[in-house]
Amino acid sequence: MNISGVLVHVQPKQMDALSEELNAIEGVEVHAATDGKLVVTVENEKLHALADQVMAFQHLKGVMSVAMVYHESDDNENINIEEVLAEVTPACTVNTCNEQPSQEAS
Amino acid sequence: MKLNRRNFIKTNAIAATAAAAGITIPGISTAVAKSGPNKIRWDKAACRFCGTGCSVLVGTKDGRVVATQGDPDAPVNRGLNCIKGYFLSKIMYGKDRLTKPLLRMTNGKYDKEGDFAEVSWDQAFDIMAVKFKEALKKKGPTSVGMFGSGQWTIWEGYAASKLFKAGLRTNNLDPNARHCMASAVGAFMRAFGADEPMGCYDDLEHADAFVLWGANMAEMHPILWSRLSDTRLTKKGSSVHVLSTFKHRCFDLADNGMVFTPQTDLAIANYIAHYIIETKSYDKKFIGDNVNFTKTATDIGYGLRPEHPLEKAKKGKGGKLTKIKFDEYAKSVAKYDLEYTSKLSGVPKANLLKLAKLYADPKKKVTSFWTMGFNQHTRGVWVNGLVYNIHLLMGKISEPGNSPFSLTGQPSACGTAREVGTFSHRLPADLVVKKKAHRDFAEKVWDLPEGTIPPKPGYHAVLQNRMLKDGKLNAYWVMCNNNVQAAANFNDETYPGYRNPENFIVVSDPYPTVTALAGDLILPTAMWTEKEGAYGNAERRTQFWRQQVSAPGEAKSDLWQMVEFSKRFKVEEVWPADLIAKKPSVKGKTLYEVLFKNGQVNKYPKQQVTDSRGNTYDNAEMDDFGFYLQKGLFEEYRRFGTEGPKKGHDLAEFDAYHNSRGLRWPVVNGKETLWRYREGYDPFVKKGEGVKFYGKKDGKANIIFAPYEPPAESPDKEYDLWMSTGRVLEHWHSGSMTRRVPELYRAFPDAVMFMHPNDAKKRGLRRGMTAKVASRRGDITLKVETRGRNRPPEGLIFVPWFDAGRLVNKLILDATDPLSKETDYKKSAVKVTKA
Repeated sequence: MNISGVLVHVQPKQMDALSEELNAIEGVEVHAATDGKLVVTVENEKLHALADQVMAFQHLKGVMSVAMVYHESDDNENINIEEVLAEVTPACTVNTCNEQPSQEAS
Repeated sequence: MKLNRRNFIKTNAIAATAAAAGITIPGISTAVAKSGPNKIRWDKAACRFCGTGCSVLVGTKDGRVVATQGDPDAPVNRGLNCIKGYFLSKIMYGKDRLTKPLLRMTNGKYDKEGDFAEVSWDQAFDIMAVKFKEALKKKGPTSVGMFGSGQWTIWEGYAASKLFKAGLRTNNLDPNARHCMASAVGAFMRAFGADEPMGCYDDLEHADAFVLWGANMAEMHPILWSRLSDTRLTKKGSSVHVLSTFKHRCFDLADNGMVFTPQTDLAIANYIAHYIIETKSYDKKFIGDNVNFTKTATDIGYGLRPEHPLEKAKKGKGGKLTKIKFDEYAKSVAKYDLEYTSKLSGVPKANLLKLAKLYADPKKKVTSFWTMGFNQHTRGVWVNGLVYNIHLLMGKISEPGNSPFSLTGQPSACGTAREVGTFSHRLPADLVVKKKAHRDFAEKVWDLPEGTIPPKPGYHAVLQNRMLKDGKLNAYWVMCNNNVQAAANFNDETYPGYRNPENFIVVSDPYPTVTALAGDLILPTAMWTEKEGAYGNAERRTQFWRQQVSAPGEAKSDLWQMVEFSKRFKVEEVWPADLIAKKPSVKGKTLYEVLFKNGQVNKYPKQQVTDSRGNTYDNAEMDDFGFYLQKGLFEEYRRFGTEGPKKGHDLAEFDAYHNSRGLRWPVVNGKETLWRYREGYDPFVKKGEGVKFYGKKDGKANIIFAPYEPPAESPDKEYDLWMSTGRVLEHWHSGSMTRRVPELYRAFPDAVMFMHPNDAKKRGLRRGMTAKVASRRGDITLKVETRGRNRPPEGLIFVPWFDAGRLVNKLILDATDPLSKETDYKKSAVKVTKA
């Protein structure tokens, strides 16, 4: 099983129509849509098929940009949550890699 | 605790995506966790591809990179990743990775006409040393050279500069960045006396309007395009203006899309300046305080071989600037009125006027972006400068949102190619070989005798290929690029040069590219996170990464290869006696001892590389040479910024970069600089100075008038179409990495020609048919594409260059900007017929 989180920028006028179009695709779900931004997940058994799907988004009319945010694959349907938590999110998100945050000049 | 794993992952995916979008979804929160011991180890790295400089998190397990994802803590990409970046983990694992040196041989001996056979590193360096020494002995240092890269890590470029400019005493070192950024560099130096943009990516949120001049950001800089789209969609009153010679994906977001006749961007930019002056919209105080008016020499030719008729016909030459008064400048641009410019460019008057009004509106913050449409241009330096003119006239520069911004194509065209001095005329930190004071300073830092570095600029990229063909450049090392696929005029210049029996060509690459196969010795090369590295992106951000995995087989990094090769030369073999006499301590030493084991580069002893979480990392070069080579090189290089004659190039200490998501130079007292040349943002501008372009002695920038001049080649009766080349979203450059990722390959397997349906019809062609494209220099066959992402006007075709099976560079004229020596890849005359 593969799951990706994808951020799609669309023409605001076409946002509703595109949400509908994307939701109609098997394995594709739009979870939020505001200001021309769609929060989309894509699920597929096969990684190849998932990748093709995401790339096909680029060519839908009204889509202006597609960015990958998250991806995970796994074959185990049920798993110990502590183990998952220990695996899925990179350590850097808890700020240990960012000891020198960038500063704006005043 | 048990829960459905699928739902759990999905929640994470939604949370991460919503966070990146800045959207809150009720009931969804990010799971915060830390990586488990002995499982996937995550660490940051700069992306291997374009000049955006996204940070990715690299997941490593059992010595293999198994996953990458956008780095949520990275200020550049904020967790986003483009489709190429998404597949980064696969670029190192193509089936045909090179793992052993390969030499052309017959009966066990080197033979230029022989077949490639495996040899040891020792044998490889033996034959290289023989060939380089032979050339040096026969014809001197001008007969050896190297073609390097804007994809080199910072220390690799720096080591190349030292090895060639000082060690082998030749300036025949040039990077492939010559093909992409040289015009930008030329314009920066002429206008501001210092390379690289004054602004930064924060302008993407600060600006009210964006103007794209010859940049297809939607495909080439997708993450910056996401940020730009976000601003356009959420900021009231914002707008996007797009100029190009054909419609592409950016036009979908454009409020003002303009397709212009190739080369007339020169006229359009002058029209805007004219409009600003005519309507008296310019910032009088700003130009009075901060600007000099000049004009440039004209009719300067097209950088072709001297015997070419176009070179014989030219009346002017070079880039000499003459000071003029404001009135003369105003008169010069007056020719470019709305009527004339609209007619010349083919852009409707209303569109031009809309663009001019935007720039002239003092209340609108404007950021202009450009890339190869401007740089790969026979008047590339001029046209870059014409946009600076507009921003300078309005004072819309060096402050948040007001930003003329030259984007970069390669991950370290800035950090390496430009900053460490790998161009044939340059030294680190904007210094140049022709100035004695600059050479003196470099020799002081490098602890070398006065006169080591030759004063004459070496062969630039295009000239290198010509000199290979002419037999003047005989021992040649190509590293970290694919120039046989990239350089223009393959049939007449590049290929004959590589196969000239007088020449020995070494190619270092991870994969058997067309360049590698055209060479005589192939060196298997470690790539990306198989070595400790550093890149510098288009907003002056320097980013480091640690070595994550080992390279396969006997593959070694470019850095290792150069430093190891330097052991093969005794100073006496490469330097004249009088130079050695100036510094007797170098007597009997190898170049390795003089350049790298010099007490400075080898100052940092071998140590365990560790991150703040206690994870440990290998460093193959440290293991082999016995000291922290990367750190030693960087700390020595840093002296050019902190002690050098050119102000404002300060970098932080080595360790600071490993502990941050990159820092934008100049970095002074640990603080990065977001906008240069303006008080309050730039530490080199003192209180009360306001704006100071301190790259120039008088602190003033140059507005440089340059006229419209025609391109080197335009369509005629026989070759009746323009051909532009470029990239596509799925592939990066020559495709040597992305075409080895199955998903990307399948998404765009072969190059096609994008063509207007009417042009196809006229030639009896339909979408999907195979057609022959021919220029005066060669021909290739391609499938016709009349739909899709690129929609050229009648009279122009667009062909991507990623496809090694369809070498579009056979068709391209090797005409260059005579100032920057950068090739115009956007304007060749071709004809298309049924295949």
